[in-house]
This record gives sequence, C-alpha cells and structure tokens, in this order.
Amino acid sequence: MSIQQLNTPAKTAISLFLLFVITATISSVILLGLELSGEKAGLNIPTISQIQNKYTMPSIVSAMKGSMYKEVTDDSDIDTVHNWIKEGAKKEGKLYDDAWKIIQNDCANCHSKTSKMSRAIPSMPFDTYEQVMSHTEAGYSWSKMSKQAHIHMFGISTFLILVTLMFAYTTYKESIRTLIIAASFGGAFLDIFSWWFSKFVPQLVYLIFAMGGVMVSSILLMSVLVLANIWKKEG
Amino acid sequence: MKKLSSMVLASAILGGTTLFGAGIATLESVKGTPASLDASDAAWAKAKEISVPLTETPYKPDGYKGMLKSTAVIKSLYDDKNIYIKLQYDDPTYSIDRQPWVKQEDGSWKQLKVLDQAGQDNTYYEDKAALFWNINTKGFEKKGCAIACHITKDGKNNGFDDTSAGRKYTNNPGETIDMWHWKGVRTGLSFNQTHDQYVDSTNDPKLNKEWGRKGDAQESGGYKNNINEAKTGPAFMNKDPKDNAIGSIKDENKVPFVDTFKPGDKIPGPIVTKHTGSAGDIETSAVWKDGKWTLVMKRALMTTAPKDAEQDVQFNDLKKPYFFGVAAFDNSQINHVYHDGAIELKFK
Repeated sequence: MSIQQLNTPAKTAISLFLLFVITATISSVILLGLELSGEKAGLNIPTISQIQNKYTMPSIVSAMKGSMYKEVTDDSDIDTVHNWIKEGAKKEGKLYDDAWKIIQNDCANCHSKTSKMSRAIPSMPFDTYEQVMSHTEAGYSWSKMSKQAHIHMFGISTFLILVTLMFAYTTYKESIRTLIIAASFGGAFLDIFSWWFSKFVPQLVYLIFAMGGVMVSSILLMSVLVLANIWKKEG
Repeated sequence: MKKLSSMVLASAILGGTTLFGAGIATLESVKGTPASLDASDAAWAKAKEISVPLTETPYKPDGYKGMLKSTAVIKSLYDDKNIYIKLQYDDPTYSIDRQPWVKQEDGSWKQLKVLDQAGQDNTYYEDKAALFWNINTKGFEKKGCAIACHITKDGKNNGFDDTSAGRKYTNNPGETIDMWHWKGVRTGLSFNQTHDQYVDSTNDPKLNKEWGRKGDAQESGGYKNNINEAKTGPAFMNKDPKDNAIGSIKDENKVPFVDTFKPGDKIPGPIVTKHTGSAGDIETSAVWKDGKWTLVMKRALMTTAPKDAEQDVQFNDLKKPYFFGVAAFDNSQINHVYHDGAIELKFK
C-alpha cells in the first residue's frame, strides 16, 4: 500500500497537515535563532558559540550573551558577571560589587517584582542576591531538564510518528525511507540528550548543533518528499 | 506539488528576513536652511524621513488614559551654523490644561491636580517631547535612553528612599547626556522654545532633588506655580484672557488676580519665563493638528557657553555619527513612550 492510493480528501488533509509542519518547523528555527542570538528579527541560524552559551553557561550569563544582549551596556560587563560566578558568586568583595551594579543597571529595571515597565518580568526578579543566585547554575538543572525533556519528547514524537508513518508509505526506496525515519527520531533524541549532558561534557554542544540540524532537516525533507510523492499517479 | 512546497519554504524564509531585517535607524541630516521654523517650509522636501515606533513605557500610572504607543517621524537639515530637527508624532489629544485653577460653585478656587501612585500628574498636565543626545555616556549607542533610566524598586532607588517611578542619571562620574526637553505649555506654546537640559551621574537626591536631571546654565527662565500666599487661589491672571489659550501666564503678561469670574472659569496654573542663556539654546515651533504634534527645532551646531562641553552635544565633526533617542509624553509628568536602542544621526 502507498499514500498514493488514498482518496483525494485524505491526500488534501495530509498535504495541509504537512504544510503546517513545515511552517511550524521553520518557525521553531526562527524562534530558537532569536532567543540565542538576541536579535529581534530575521532568520538567525544558531552558532556553536550561541548554543554553548545556552547549554553550558550560567543562565544569567547565557542570557546576557544571547537574548538579553541588547540590554548589556558593555561586553566586558558579561565577563565581570561571569567571573563573579566562576569565583563562587560570593556576596562580598569587589567582584560582587561590580557584578551587582551591572545586574541592577542592565537587568533589574525589568527583572523586578515591582517593575511596571512595559516589558517588566516580575516573575523573574533580580531584586535580591538570593534571586540572582537562582540563575547562576551552569547549564540545565535537573528540574529544568526534566521539564524541557518531557515536553519536547512527548510533543516531537507525537507529530514525528505521523510524519514518519506518512513517509513510510511513500514509494521511495525502502532503505532511504528507513534511514531518514531513523535520522529524525535519532536526531531528536540525541539533540535533547545533549542539552543536559553538555554541561558535563562541553563538546556535546557540537552534537546539539548537528543533531538539531539532522532533526529539522529530516522533518522538512520528509514533509517535502511526501508532498511531492502523494499527488503522483500510481506507477 | 514539489514546486509549491519549495515556494512556501522560500517565501517563509525570505518573508522572515525582509520583514524583520531592520537594525538601528539612521537619520541623515542634509544641507538646507529653512526660511522659518514653519514645518511646511520648502527646505524640508529634500530631507529624508525616518519612522521610529515608540512602543515602550517606563511604568503604568494608575488610571492613565494617555497613549501607550506612538510613532515618531523625524527629518533633519543643517547649514553652516545650525542643525534643524523636524519631529512629528502621533498624540490624539491636545493637552494644555496644566494644573489650572477652576472656580467652584461655592465661589472658591480649586487647582486641578490628580497624582498617581508615583506622585505624578497624568490628568492635568501638558504634552511634552524629548530628544536625548549622547555626549560621552558609555553604552548609549547600544541602549539609547534606557542607559540613564533607573527604576525605583520597593520605594528605593540607589539605596535612597524614593516615591517616584524612576530617576534619570548616568552610571559613571563624568558621563553626561544632552536633553532637549520640549514642554508644551511651559516652553513650547509660550515661547517657541525647548528647555535645554542635561543628565549627569548625580544619583543622590540630597545633592539634587531631580537626581541626574538638570537644566543648562541660564540667566533667567523657568516657571512657578500660580498660587496665592494663602494657597487658596491663583495669585495672578493674564492681562488679556485670550492668552489663556496657551495654558500659561507669561511673566510679562501677568496682572494681580481679581476675582470677577463665574463658576467653571479657569486660570492657568504656571507662570512662565523664557529661558535665556544655555538653557534657551533651542528654538522650537510647535503645532498640534489632526492628532499629531509637529515640532521644528533649531540649535547651533556648536554652543559656546562655559559649561556647554558637558551640557550640550557639540556637532563639531560632521563626519562622525551622533546618537540620540526620542520620547513623547502624552499629558504626562514623567510617563512617556520611547523606543529601544539609539538612533544614529549622520551629516550628508
């Protein structure tokens, strides 16, 4: 059996579903690029160093290098905050004074429980030392990882099973179908796996970049190939 | 179908880059001398405009009815002596009732004033606009006006008790920003003038009650509240009641208040004097029409008062870029709409 044998309404439904998948996949890449680069617009393919910042650095430093970069007065301020954290993030000394001033000047106008600025983030306050400390852990915490992993794995696998099943019933060579299907699930698994473990093995950020690319490419490729195959007349 | 899906993909990617590709806006100031500060002067035809969305606000005043966003359209000209800025922005309401006195039914007088949670008036105030020019403040080129914005948190600002929503001061000693502060009632409609001010790093209210915000040096100028000694009514009124139309009483036009009024009549709240000296460097025409303010500002490229190097931006090198920010205040004492980052001005 092949998807070419489906009736026209089924083919129409599948085609429209796949257009949604393509758009959603591109949107997710745009969103990731914006978050990692700190840009406000455009398609920004994440770089290795941006990925490294996100998954291996303390979240406050990662944000200062990425999505919050525009709020940072000077690049050297990021190093100052990072050095303070690397030296134990103590609540005393010059490192603390310098880092605290930077955080208050560059972050705390919006990151405050009482901020009424139009872009206030009262849910993530930097008003006290203790509040800032909760953003100094490197990479993903156990809590963040388990939350991110289950949401992404349930979500991705749900639409991936649909796309891969459709692709499985195309008329392309079986070996090609099997390879791309395996790549899509494998890429997704290794990508998410690397999010967490890159804080222990920094080289894994290359795997995030590569496997994220494999996952996105295979989803787009399968979607396009299904669309190209489904409307062909049976040979 | 393959072609179609490729087109969808390509258009989505291209759409993304085209729609969202803008960076910091660049305003080109071109050679030209307007014959007057009339915004329709023919000289403006050759100036290219830029449009800057003003979408951010520093706080949310309780019950605020003013605008939460606007769009500034800016042009610039220059000649051998002066720079000219034409700023037009949306403001749906013409606000000139700045804390006026109103005669009550029982014959008493009441000065209208409604203060928000930060002690600021956004009901009986005036429209204002401001240009913020970097002089030597680190980070301004990237962050724009926000570099000097310090929000008060839990009643504290820089460790000091503070009831205001926020304060302006720069982060390091010696850093200053030139502030062209057009005040609709107090300087604009009364004297065709913008108050030339500046911001420095003063972050202690004991040193200056306005913190880092200061007026340029002046020989005279400013305003005072039109209130009698008993604080029960106005002390003065306009010699010619027609002058009430601009919402103020010019010092030279004031006469002692004599109550021959009927309930509901108004007397302006501020008595205003023209700024002379460095504080009066910026001549400004202003017209409100069809929901837009149009201002034309004129200032010498270089100013020469003793403290102008720290108080005024000096356009003394026409090859280098100058960075500034824009804000608009809709009937509001300190709440304003502004934009992210800085606008770059280049002389062509």
